[in-house]
Parts: sequence; structure tokens; C-alpha cells
Amino acid sequence: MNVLLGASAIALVLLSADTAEREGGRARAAAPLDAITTILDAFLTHPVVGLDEVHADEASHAFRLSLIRDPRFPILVNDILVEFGNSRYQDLLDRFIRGEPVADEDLKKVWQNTTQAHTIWDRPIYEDFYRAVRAINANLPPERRLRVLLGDPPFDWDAVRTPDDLRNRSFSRSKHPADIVVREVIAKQRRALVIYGALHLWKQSLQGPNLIEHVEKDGGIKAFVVLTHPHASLGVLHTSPESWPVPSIALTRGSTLENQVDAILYLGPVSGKRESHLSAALCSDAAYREMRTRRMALAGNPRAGEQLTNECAAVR
Amino acid sequence: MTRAYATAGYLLALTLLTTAAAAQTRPDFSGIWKPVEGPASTSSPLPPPKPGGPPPPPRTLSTTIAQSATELRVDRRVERDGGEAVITFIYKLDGTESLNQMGPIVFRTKAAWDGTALVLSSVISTDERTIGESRDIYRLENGELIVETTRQTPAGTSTSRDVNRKG
Repeated sequence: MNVLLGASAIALVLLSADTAEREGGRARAAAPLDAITTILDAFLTHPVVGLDEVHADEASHAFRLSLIRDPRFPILVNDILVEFGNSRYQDLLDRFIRGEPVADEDLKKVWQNTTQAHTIWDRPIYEDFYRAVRAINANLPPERRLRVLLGDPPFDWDAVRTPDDLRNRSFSRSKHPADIVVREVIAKQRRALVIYGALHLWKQSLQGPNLIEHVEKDGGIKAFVVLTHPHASLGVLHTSPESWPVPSIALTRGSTLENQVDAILYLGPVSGKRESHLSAALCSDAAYREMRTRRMALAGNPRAGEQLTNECAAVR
Repeated sequence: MTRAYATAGYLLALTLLTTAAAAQTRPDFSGIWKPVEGPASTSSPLPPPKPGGPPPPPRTLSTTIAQSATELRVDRRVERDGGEAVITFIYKLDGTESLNQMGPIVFRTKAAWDGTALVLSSVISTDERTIGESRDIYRLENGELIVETTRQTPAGTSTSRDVNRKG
């Protein structure tokens, strides 16, 4: 019996010590926060907030609309920098966003003529975003109106005749938009939401300084970066978000991700992801299809026509 | 019944004591380590990067390791275009999976002891799509930290043996 008591006592002590150590050493699981309030609060301490643009994703678009339609947004934010627009058309877009008449034929050049040959920006969610900002501005006093800044470098496809023409054109999709933020936002003591793909926003990018790092270095500020799960994995924060409200957000502070991203946005399970498709009208527009096929081929896609046909086949 | 409890208690205590004894023989990798350049460290030629595969690992400038009974924290200071970065990975040492992320690349790792060597087996993914596997073996030899790495990606397999000294 003494042996039993002795062994049990030793086991109990070892188990207690082990449990206490594991609980003490275990990283606390992240808790879900209100996504819109958290992002808006970030503007109180950061002049620039980067928000991951999950390309062609309907949920990502819906969240952006909810954010900019929140009545607090135009009080806290002045500008929105977007990836899906050619800065060559900034004046045209300024007129449109202010509520002035702009012909559809002219407006579409903003997203159709970027440096990118692909069809992503032709999905209706991107045009919808510009129209949403214009509608918000219509109900705001002039001093509160939002400005949309076009981040893609100025580019003229009419000057591109061969693949070499394209290869020889030099432009920076990181430095150019960063310069815009420094010049139009930071220097003017304004605040901006930067809507760009995740690779442009990760801090400590091993591929070299990206957009957000140029903004921080050249602008002398700290930006707040929000990436979407699973671009940044909530698993790293020791949590699994299946039961979380949609949308939710978690801060990375105290985790191994805190040097790379400030918060992770949860927009629902990956299995429920819905993609925005080209519109039926665009797919039946022969001039559009010829233009897009030619540009994708110039960019080195030998199956451009087939790819566009497949994309249009997905249109209901 | 009393005898059964006694046996169970004895076995439990014996198991825990044995585990504790084994843990005492395990090396402690804690410290600040700097890579030794030259013939001591070797690597196979890295295959050229292919679309969809993970990028080659960045060059390490120093590694700071903090080891406890339950986890291994590795802070790697690495060289990158335009400066340096500090990448922090934490590995659980209880055999359960650890998740770490470096930019868009996620590492799901299980740690296991093989004698005095610590083996970190990782599945590498991006956006929940597997793009490779890696195996890092940490051991101490004559006061040096040896890290042997094997990476398997769609582009092929690469191996390296890195020698680090405290500094």
C-alpha cells in the first residue's frame, strides 16, 4: 500500500507539473472580433490600412462594400487605393467618383486597360465597387467624399504590338502605387484603405519590398495589414474558425505572424467560396473577346482563346 | 482490485519517470547560432524554381532558439532583397501538429525525437494546397548545431547540411 501511495504521489506530482507547464506555455487561441469595427479602429492609429483583395471573390467584394458603406468609414477614411485600375485614367475616375457624367465606354478603360492581360478585373464586382463609391459620395458633404486612387502603373496597350514590346516596358506594380500613397495620402495627412492582393501586403516579403513595405519605408509610417484566411492561416493563431460569425477578424498580436500581418479576416469556409464570373454581355461582345485574347497571347498565354471560351462557358 | 490499482500506479509512475529520464538526455538547442560558411556546410544544387512550387529558403544570417519542455521557438534572421527579415516558427514537442507561416507559405509540422536528434517533418502548402514536404533534423555535435534538411517539391528534391556555431 505504501508503494501504491508513493507511486501515485509521484505520478500526481509529475502530472500536475506537466499540466501546469503545458497550460502556461500554450499560446492563447485567438478570439473573433467584429471585423468592420476592428478595421475602422485601426485607422485611429494607422494612416494606411491594407486590405487583402481576394481576386474575383464575391465574399471579399461583399465585405468591402459593407466596410465602405459603414457610416463611420467616410469620417475616418479619405482615400481608397485599388489594384484594379490603370492610374492613367485617374482624372476620368475622379470625375466619375465625384458624380459627374462619364460614358460607360470610357469608364471601363479604368479596369480593362491595366498592365494585367488577364480577365480578373473584368468581373462585374470591380465595376460595381467604383459605382458603390460614387453612390456613397452622392450622399456625403464635399469635405467627406471619398477618393479612389488607381494603383496600377499608367499603361497604354495601343503601344504594345509584340511580346517583346510588352517585355520591354518597365513598370513597378509595388513602387508606383506606394509613391501614390506617399504623395496623395501621407504627405497630405489623409488616411487610406489600400485594397490589393495579399502578396502586395505581406510584411517581410522574401521577394523584396512590396507595396506596403515601400509605403512604410518611404512614408515613414506603420501600416495596419489585414489578410484573409487562408491567405494568412487562422490555424497559426491556434484557432479554427468554423463556428465564428461571418465576417470576423482576429488580431495576430503575440503570435508568430505579428511581424508579417496585423489581423486575419474570416469570410467563411473555403468550401463556400463563390467566384465572380464575366458577364454574359461581355462574353457576347466580340470586340472585347478579341481584345482580351490578343493581350493574353501577347503576355505569353498560348491558350488564351481557349481559356476565355472556358471562362465564358461558366457564365450562366 | 487493490492489486490492480497498485500495478497501474506503478506502471504509470515508471512510464513517467522513464520519460522524464529520457527527456533529461535530450539536447537543449537553445542559444544564438551563426552559420559556418565553407565545406562543413553543404547543399545539393537547388532545382530551378517552378511555378506552383515553394520558393527556395532564404539565406540564414543567424538563428535564435529557445527550447522548453513543451516547445521549440526558432527565430531565424534571414537575408532578403533590400534587407533582412526575422521569421519565427514555434514547434510543439508533444507530437501534435504545429502551424507556422512565412508569407503565403504554410508549414504543418510534427516534431519527434530520434534518440538525441529532433526531427521536424513538415507539409508545405499555400492557400490550403499542398506544394511540398520538408524534413529538418536538428542535432548537436561537438558543440555545433547541425541541421540537415531535405525538401521535396514538384521541382525535385534538395538536401542541405548546415553547421552552426554559438556566437
